[in-house]
Amino acid sequence: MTRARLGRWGMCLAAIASAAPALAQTPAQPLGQREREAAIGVVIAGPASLGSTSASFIRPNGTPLELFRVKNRFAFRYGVEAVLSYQIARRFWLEGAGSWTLGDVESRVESDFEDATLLTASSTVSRFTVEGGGLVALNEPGAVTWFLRGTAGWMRELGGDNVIAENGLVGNAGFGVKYWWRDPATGRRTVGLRLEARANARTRGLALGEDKLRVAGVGFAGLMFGW
Amino acid sequence: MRRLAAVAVVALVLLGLMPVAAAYLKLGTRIDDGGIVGVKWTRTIRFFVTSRDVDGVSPAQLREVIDRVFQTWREVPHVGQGLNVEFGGFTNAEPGADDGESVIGFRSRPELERTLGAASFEFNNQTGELLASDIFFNSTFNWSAAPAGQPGRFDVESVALHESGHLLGLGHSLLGETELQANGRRAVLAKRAVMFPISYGSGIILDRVLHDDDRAGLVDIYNNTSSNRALGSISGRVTLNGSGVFGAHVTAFHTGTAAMVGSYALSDDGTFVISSLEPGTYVVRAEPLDDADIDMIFSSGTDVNIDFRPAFHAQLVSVPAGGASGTIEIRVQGK
Repeated sequence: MTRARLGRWGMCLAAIASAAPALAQTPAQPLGQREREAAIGVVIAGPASLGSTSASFIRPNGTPLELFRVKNRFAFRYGVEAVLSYQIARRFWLEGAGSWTLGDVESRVESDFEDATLLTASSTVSRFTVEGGGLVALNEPGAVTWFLRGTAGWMRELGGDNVIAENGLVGNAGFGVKYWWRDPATGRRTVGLRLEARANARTRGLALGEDKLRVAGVGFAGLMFGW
Repeated sequence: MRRLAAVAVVALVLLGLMPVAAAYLKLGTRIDDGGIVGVKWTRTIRFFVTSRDVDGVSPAQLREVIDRVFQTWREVPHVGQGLNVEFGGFTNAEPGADDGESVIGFRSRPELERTLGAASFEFNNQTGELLASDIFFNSTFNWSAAPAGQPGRFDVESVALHESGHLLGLGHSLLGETELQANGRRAVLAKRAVMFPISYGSGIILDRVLHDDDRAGLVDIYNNTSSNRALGSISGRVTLNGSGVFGAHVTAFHTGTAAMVGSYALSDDGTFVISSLEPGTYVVRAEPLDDADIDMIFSSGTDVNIDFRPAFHAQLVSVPAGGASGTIEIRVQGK
């Protein structure tokens, strides 16, 4: 095989690999035009276990005598999130995000040694997050773009009518889709819709249960604006 | 005073002391003008150890034990380093004598058949200043200073840690459960405070380690700028049909660290304060004192309400660093 033939086969493979799917009819943007996007929407986080803690006395033989046990969890949380994106490569965006969510932390009291009435005690916790990360498009960016996304950052949790506050770490990993409406005349993006499903991990923050990495499912739905 | 089992009169009352109505149960004395001053050292604690041998514990061993227990208290965060303790030497003096010296040692008290040890105090009657405090260990019992304890012998370090807690001003904690035995004595089922008034029993060394409740009690007495900034408190009332419940035992349980700190409702309106708490979120529980506990805490004849069921506060309680939770109300129901 000659050097000229190798070159032609190489160009052909590259064209196949970069072919846009049928839904993405808009032409790929030149690399010189970096897209900037902003999204704002609602975020819903599912329940997350915070583990069990036991109020125990110590028997003469050193084993615990459980007075009562509490099972701790975050209930559903709701809030808002804003995302800023900056395209640094054809399929890669740097992202910064900030969110505020509100929800109850619950401690369900179980198995009281002296038969106290069992109940679930609760308190409202708000969480602020600031994160940074990246988004990778799974297809050639166009009207519909599927993506994977990961972020990590700082959080601050406020509890008990904001009388206590602790900082912690938070991370998100998930996938989603962006859909853009475009001006038919100019082909420019006008507004878009962004939907995401994530796994949210949290550590430290308010000491609401065992200090472990806690994972919850999170959904995000928001409107996007591009320029 | 540490006892093998409950008896009719609490030693603290016999000594003319009384619980101070504040957060953690601590000791105080009535001074000449009628006021009550809490037991608190404002000077270096200079202690002497009796030179009397008992089977199983030499004077030198006892001195080492006392050094260790004071060191254990001195390791309590925020306040422990502020306790100044100094060994004065060995002495032939008896613990319990009004000699202005703090003497720690063994003494035979066969008439106190359920008393392992006790602390006593000397005050300035006008100012309430604590001048000296003695601790005696009842040599009627068999004792051990062995590192791992000895079957059939009471661990002098465990009892010394409890009695030195009294010496520092702490009252009794009720974080524990007991059961009545066939011989009429109460045995510990389980506990979580060195300052619980009943010993685990002979051969057991579990009481060489302080618990959250013990540490909170010490900080409550010797609080300073550091502890006031770092720790918080819960205050509230225990009510039954709208009326306060005097004598209710209230426990705060940290949902994250599992720390437990107890206190009492020490006024007729059921008001309680649990202080020196690590910041965090707490489950709060109120319970009546056990029949057997009452005389360990209150003077005989005190009208303590024990006719209600244990109950939890319906909300989690958040404790900030350097602050207090809002006032809570724990509503209990009659039995």
